[in-house]
Parts: sequence; C-alpha cells; structure tokens
Amino acid sequence: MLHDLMLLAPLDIMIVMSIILLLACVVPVQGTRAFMGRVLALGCTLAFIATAFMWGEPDLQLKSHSFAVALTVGPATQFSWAIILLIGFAIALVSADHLPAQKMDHGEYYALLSFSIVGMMAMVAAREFFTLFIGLEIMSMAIYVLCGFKRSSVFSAEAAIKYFILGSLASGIMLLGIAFAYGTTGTTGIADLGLALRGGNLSDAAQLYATISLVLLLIGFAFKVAAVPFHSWTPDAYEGAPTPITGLMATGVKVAAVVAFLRVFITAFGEVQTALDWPRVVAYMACATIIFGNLAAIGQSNVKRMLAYSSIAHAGYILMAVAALGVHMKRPEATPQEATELTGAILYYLLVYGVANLIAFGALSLFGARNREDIDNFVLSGAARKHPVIALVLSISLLSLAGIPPLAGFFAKFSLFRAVLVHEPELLWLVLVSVLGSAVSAYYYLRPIVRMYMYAEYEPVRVIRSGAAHVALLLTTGLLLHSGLAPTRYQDMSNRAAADMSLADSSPVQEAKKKNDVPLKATALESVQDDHLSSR
Amino acid sequence: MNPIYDPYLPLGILLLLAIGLGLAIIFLNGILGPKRMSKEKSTPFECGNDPGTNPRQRFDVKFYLTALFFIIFDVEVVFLFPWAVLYREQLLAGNGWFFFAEMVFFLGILTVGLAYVWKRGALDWE
Repeated sequence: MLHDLMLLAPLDIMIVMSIILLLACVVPVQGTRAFMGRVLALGCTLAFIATAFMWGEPDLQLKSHSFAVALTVGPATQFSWAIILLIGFAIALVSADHLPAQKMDHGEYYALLSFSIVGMMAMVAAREFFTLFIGLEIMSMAIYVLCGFKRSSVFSAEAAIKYFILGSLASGIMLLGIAFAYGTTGTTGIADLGLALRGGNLSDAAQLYATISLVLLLIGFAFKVAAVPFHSWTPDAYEGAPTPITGLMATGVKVAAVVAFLRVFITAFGEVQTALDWPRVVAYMACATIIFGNLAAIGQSNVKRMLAYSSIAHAGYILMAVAALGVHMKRPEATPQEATELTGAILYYLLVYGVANLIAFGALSLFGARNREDIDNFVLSGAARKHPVIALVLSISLLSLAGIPPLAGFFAKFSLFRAVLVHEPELLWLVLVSVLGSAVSAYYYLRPIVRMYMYAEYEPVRVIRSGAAHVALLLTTGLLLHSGLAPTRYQDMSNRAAADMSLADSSPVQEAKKKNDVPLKATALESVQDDHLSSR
Repeated sequence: MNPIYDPYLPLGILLLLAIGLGLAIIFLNGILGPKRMSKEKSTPFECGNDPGTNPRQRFDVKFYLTALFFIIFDVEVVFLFPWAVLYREQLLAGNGWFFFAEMVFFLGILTVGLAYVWKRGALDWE
C-alpha cells in the first residue's frame, strides 16, 4: 500500500495541498491569503517534479488490488498529469494578483482550484468508469463554484448557473452511459467493456446496452469538450467566469476530457464493430464544430468570447483526429504503431493548444485592473506601447493558436493533419475543412494583435502589476517557444504516452475475474431473466 | 391437520393488521383525544417555514444550508454501512488495517470539511 501511495505521489501532494488550503481559509492568522496562490503553485511544482521522476521509470504498476483496479500510472497518465500540473501552476500564479484587483480575494478560490486539479488528475488516471466519473465530478463541482466566484457580478452568476445546469445534465447522461456499460459486462472496468464486445458472444440485450452506453458516453464527452451541437454553454460560461478560471476551463478541463475520451473510446469501442458507426458520427460532429467555431469567432469583439469560440474550433480539430483514429482502429489490417502515431499527434496538439491558451488567458487576466470585467478589443488598443512584454506574450500565444510557422501551434496542426491524411486518406474532406477553418481563424487571432500594435490608445490602458503572473507567463511562453523550436522532443514524449493510452492489455479486473472463473458475458438483468424463464 | 395455504398468507394478514392498526390509531386519536388547537399546532410541520403561502415567497437561506449539511453527513453514514458489512470479511482476509485506514482517511477528510464549516460559522443559526 505504501508502494502505491508513493507511486501516486503527485495525486497525494495535490490532495494534501487542497486540504491545507481549505483549512488555511479559516485560520485566524492575518495575511495568509496573500501567500495561498504561491503555496498552490509550489504544490503543483512539487507534484510536477514527482511526475517527472516517474517519467523515466519503465513499467510502473500499482500493486494493491484496490488501487490497481481503479487507477493506472503509465506514461499516458504521467504526460497528462504534467500538462494539468503546469496549468494549475500557471493559473495559481496568475490569480494571485488578479483576485484583489477584481475584489474577490477569498481563500476558498485556491482550495477549489486545487480540488479541481485533483479531479482532473483522477480523471485522466482512471482505469474504471466510476473513478473517472468521480474525478469528473470533483473537477466540475469546483469549477461550477469558481465560475460564479465573483459574487458581485451578474455575468459571473450567469456563467455559473449555465455551466452548472448543462454540466450536470451532461454528467447525468454520462452516468447513465456508465450504468448501461455495467449492464453489458457486470463490472465497471473500462477494459472489460472492450473485452466483452470483442468476445462477440454477447446476447442481443447486452449488445443493445453496449450501443446505448456508447451513444450516452459520446454525448457526455461531447458536452465536456464543447463539441457542436453540445457547445451552447461555452461562450456564456467562458465570458462570464473570472479570466483565470476561463483559462482553466479552456485548458485543464479540455485536456482532462479529451484524454478520458480517448481512453474510453480506444479501450472499449476501438477495435470492435459497434452497431453505431461512432467514428463517422464523430467526423460529422468535428466538421460542424470546426465550421461553427471558426465562423462564430469572427464576429466577436469581446476577446474572451472570441477565444471561447476558437476553443470550440480547436475541439473540432481534435475530434477530427479522434474520428480518424476510430476509423483506423476498426480496420482489420490496422497496426498499433499507426494508432499510436495518431494518438501521439492528438496529445502533442493538446499540449501545445493548452500552453498557448494558458498564456492567452493569463495575459488577458492582467487587463482586468480596477474591477474591469469585459475585455474587448478596445481595452487592448495601444497596449503594446506601454506594456510591451504582455503584448508580446499575448501575440505569441495567439499566433501559435493560429498556427503560424515558427511557433509550436504550426507543428501541432501540421502533425495532426498529416497523421490523419497518412493513415486515413478517406477523411481528406475533413482535413480540407480543417485547413480552411485554420485559414479563417488567422483573421480573428490577428485582430487583437493589430489592435495592440497599430492602434492608438482608446482609453488609458491599465494592467494589474503582478510579478507572479509575469513569472508564470514568461515560463509558459518559454515552453511554447521551445516546443516549437524542438518539436521532435515533445513529439517523442507524446508518442511514448500515446503507446500507453489503451487500457486493454492488462486489466487487474480481468485477472481477478479469470481467477474466480466468472463468465464475463452474464449481465445482472439477464441472469434474472434466465432464472425467471427456467422457473416457468 | 396440516392445511395447505399460500406461504405468503401470514404476510398478507400482517399487512392488513398493520394498515388496520394504523387507521384505528389515527381515527381514535381524533375521536378520543382532547382538542386545543393553536396556529402552530395546526401546521403540518411545527418547525420550519409556513407551507401554506405563496410559493414565490422568499425564505431564509439558512434552511438551505442546514438541509445541505444534513444530506452531506447523512450520506457519510450511508458509506459507512457497506464498509461495516464488509469489514469482518476483510479482517479475516488479512486486509484489516488497510480497510480500517481507508475509512479513517475518508472520515478524516469529512472532518476537515466539518472543521471548515464550523469555523466559517455556517453552523450558527444567527
């Protein structure tokens, strides 16, 4: 058990950090609040270092049954943890001076932020549906509250209530999907669902449950990654939430949701023929998402809202690769290496997209001085003259999101589109849509840059003076530039993580099942029906 | 003398008896008991807010908090039940300390929550 707790050190550190921060809110010592952001950033750094130590170790396995059934700590988990902890680190530092300027400096903010990071980490490490769901809920609950954290603002309340209602609906749908998965296999293991479907000796009822489960899980994850037609909460929630929290939603939530989505679909629905041709559905969804996200972003004058629509478009590019992966895995001649290459491209894209968005929202949050809430193009006008560093990092991140060549965004998009074209040439139409979408996106990404560099000040530009935020922004910008200059290094890492993505190879649940010799196909409901029939 | 009857018959009789007794007590109470009504006594719930008014009326957020805390700590007990049922089995399997530590950890986190709520003053009615 101690061995397992050591392996889960990053998760342990963050859980302890959350508890410490929660208790720090009520200790009657003055001045603790000023340090809480930095303490959380320190905790994230420690957890990141622990993750980095794990990275070199080959073949890490949890030993005790209860842990091994629920969680996995392979390279895929470590890679996702590293991204999530980086996001947590940057958001904590950016918030440190943002909160007092926005008159919402309550300690609970950092405790909730820490809890949401714990949830994300549990979600991407889950080997089993309930762990995934609990991680998802810990993350979501904390973020619902954080969305409405600025209690004096109507927009913040609106964001919170919209995100809460639609988010809990999505969670409910996903839970129903999990229930049907349980109905198919009689266990909650993700790998068991894939195993049962691959076995091919399922009854008609179990087959039907699996299909229903597939549809419900697809809808649930589409909500979380904000794919059309389940995107409607995104613009309002992103616009109204405090800017650092919008950054967390656009990066952390998306990374966790996409990784969990990949895990579940590769493992459970990857190499089997399902009644519903899900890769085709995902492909159409991706197409609609890319077109809608890019077109809607054009008309936005509020930069946060523009980035919300652009994050929808980016979810579309990712879904395109997921669709290609799905089509690919269903081919009989498919090799694991090719699937790994596609998954690796998705993970690399996630990393670069996450870091770029993190910088963009971090820089935007600095424009929230003097309790200012909406950040539109007028606020940015002429900012480059007075605040060259902030303008520069914001420009770099926006150019990277647009995919301009020397930056990491270009390599991420290139490797994603290339992987799809090489492995699934029949999705050429979708790649064309993506390329056109990216071309359109350059227009709206360049607009804030033009405003900052080529316009005169519309009103005096005021930014929050924050050393902590500058440290976070410069570090993440350095990472973004480095991942653009040395992309192969990061691609190697993401490929290594991608090889570990599927949970199908070794499931402790299956091993336990084999030992006890329980037939996997029997569902609870079916055995009841069988009893009933035989008694008659 | 061993009449064949449905094994569920005693259960049916018990059901009838229970319903009959319940009804009898309610009506006998109404017939025999003294009646000194007051406004408070005639409400369905003697504590809490008046149920017979306009539903759009505002009510104190404290009720909501109390209900929420009740649910949280009630659900905690629900988690304790399956744990207690399985404990003996796990103890015999040699997992006793691990199983015990898990519950201590769970309760510890809940205690932190309680400490937070307490210090925040959410448990004070005024």
